[in-house]
Amino acid sequence: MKKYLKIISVSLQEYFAYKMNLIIWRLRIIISIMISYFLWDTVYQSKPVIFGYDISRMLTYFLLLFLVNSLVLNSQTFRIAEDINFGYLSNYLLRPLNYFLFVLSRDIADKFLNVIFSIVELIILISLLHPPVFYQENVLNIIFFITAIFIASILYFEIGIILSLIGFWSRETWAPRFIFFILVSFLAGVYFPLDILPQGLYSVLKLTPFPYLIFFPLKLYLGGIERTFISSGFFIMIAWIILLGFLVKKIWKKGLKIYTAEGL
Amino acid sequence: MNIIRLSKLTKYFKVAKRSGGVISSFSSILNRSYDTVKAVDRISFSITEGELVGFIGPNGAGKTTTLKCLCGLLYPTQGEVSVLGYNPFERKPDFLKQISLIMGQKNQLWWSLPAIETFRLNKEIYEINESDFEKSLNELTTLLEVKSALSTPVRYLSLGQRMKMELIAVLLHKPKILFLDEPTIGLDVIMQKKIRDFISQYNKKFRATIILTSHYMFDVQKLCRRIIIIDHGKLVYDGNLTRLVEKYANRKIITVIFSHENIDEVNLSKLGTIKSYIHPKAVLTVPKAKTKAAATELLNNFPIEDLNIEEPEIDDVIRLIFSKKNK
Repeated sequence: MKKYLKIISVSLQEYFAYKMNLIIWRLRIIISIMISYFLWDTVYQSKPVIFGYDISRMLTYFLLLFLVNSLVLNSQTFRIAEDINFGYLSNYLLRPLNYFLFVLSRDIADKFLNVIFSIVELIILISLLHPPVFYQENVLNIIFFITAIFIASILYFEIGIILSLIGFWSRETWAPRFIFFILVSFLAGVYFPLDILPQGLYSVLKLTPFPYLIFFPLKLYLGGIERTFISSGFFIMIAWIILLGFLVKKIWKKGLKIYTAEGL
Repeated sequence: MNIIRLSKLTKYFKVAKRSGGVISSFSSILNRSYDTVKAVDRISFSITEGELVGFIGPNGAGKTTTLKCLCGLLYPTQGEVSVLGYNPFERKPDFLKQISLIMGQKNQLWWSLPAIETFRLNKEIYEINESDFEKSLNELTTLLEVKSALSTPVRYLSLGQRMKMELIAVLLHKPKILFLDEPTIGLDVIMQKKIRDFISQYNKKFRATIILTSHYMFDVQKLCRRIIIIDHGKLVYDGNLTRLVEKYANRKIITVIFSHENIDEVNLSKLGTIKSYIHPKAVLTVPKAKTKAAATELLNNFPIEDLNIEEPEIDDVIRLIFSKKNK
């Protein structure tokens, strides 16, 4: 396992060689979340409760999004496509190394750094804006929240890998990823809590992996969630993880057989 | 003992056909047609432990594809490959720990970090213990004279320095089999010799098996007793380097210096093929059996100042083989 720790540390060092990239990336996230934050803040000027959310819960939803976003939706898995298309993958295949653990290590470094940034950002924003923060006092909710974030990152990790493995068959992996990214932000609850959607749409959505990436963990923190949804939610997440894990393995094996090690 | 064994190795690639122009580019979105390229076509050979083999062929002959199959990067379309008793494509850790592939144009170093970071990472990946690591690193950096550049970010290194760092990165774990693809590409003459000497030393010291491809025939000539030639994915020659010259060099080279310019080129070309003629020097290739007659003819009927008969260079022999194959 020592080798993977070393990969984490080397990856972290690499980030500091490209500080600007990281800062711009963070800025992008701050802007995108703050737009939603101020939008909802304005909406609450006229009504105290909207769609069953009071202002403190709604604004906390977006503030916590910083943290959940950094942990779940931050991923370096898109680099797998680069690795395949530019032949860098060969470097890893040639060494006694599990490529997916390597990718995971790269992701852990990425998430670690982003979480630190997001915590600092949160502290600054809270002290500047003095928002009505909702503090969850039930320990069980916090435990569920943390567990869900953990499982959600595995789920998103697998989705990211599958999207990148397209690289074995096509050089153009950027377009599907871009569309997916917009779709995911919308369906995962980056712009609004998903339970404000029409009931029919919402129940269909609950069968897909997307609500569990962002909305589900945040909902667990905010409370007021039905017991059945908690258990069905965790069940659906795990089912998706098993299914996608199986798919990743299949696609990877197929892909390696047609891998051309180009550019190397 | 055969450490590498290939039997009828075949690798085809499907390549999307694309003709130029905007319209055909658009139509390629809808229906793509593919060409099958036979990169390697039923190649068989085996190599015993400690051998240093030169692997030669023009660009696109299938050398690199063969090497990639040998280290498990590519999945063979057909045929069998066995390296150290393993099927390379399974990429078992024990297999990977004993091999290395070095490519002149590739980059495994972390671009924005000092080379030492890549080395330390490799130390963990290959599970090399601290004292062995320090020893190898010291040896290699001294030999290749890059000690002072160890803590410079790789992107600031010169091409030569980077190539040396690449070499170090793949040698730290002391592989038993080395696949070297153009290891001296882009290096200056002094560095080329250093790398060459180093390869030969490494081969002797560790009884390492080495397969080397190079465009510099000089590298191959200096290092390898045995050569394997492939062209268009097919094996053309496998055997002793000197015997190759005897076998294929059915011509000799006559170089003459004329004493004045008034030369009848038509008559001259009757003696053999004129390879070059820049007054006062002409180079002719002449069939072996006719060498003597041609030389006599030259001395008698041409204003000769100097005349020289030689065996063709290894480069020429190989060019000859390839041009024959292509006809």
